[in-house]
Amino acid sequence: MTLDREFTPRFTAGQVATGSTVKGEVPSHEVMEAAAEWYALLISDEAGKQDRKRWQDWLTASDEHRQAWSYVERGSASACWSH
Amino acid sequence: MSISQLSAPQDLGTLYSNHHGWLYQWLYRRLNNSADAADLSHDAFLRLIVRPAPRGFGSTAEARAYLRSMAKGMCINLWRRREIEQAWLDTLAALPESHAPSAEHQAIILEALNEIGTLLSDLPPKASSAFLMSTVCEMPSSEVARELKVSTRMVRKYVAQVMLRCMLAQAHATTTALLDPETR
Repeated sequence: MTLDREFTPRFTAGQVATGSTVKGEVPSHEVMEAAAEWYALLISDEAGKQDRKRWQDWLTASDEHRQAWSYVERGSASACWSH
Repeated sequence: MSISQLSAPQDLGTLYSNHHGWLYQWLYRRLNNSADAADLSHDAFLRLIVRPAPRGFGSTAEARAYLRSMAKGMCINLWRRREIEQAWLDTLAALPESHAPSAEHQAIILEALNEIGTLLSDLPPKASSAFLMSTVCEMPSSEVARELKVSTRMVRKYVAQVMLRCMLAQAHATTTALLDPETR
């Protein structure tokens, strides 16, 4: 499956890599975990507008967050279940 | 070319006639299935042709210990594969028809699942099911929760656990690539 358009971020993994985060540095485990939890919430039917707004804020808060999210995108795409 | 030339220094033909029956029996006791035992025992000897034991075998005990540890690994792989396939079949069976993926899509999913099987092997089976139902089949979490008899909170936890594993595997692959000076 692909992520819902409404919350598909507007940047790609490539752009993330050119951000101020040191190239090749993997986000901390806590941030990766937070990204995975956001993903789980957003694909559930329990996420409301408020949650999406909070997710957007989280995403724009730091390069590390964006980088972690790029792994969510790659994780969901590379698993080959995109239609 | 004879088999023994392929597998020098140990004569694979001798090895086969001395140990194949024993290995088959050993596998049969563990797997309780003659077809699987026959397949795996042949695979074990094929592997020995492709990658012979580095120093050959000094004794029957040594040869059997080597074959046994190889066969153990093969059993685990087989079980893991079967478990994944079963979890996927269970997931499919629980799906309303409208959510069922096409046959072609199913084959791709199964292949992908086997690839990531190692990643998920220590997670509860319900975690894989929750992830599959939520992502591949795009089922609402309330339905997934009902199917698996867990809370929606638990469904979210399972989905996050599996996603984290996939992300860490991706991160690991990226780091490995970046450490290779050729790719800098």
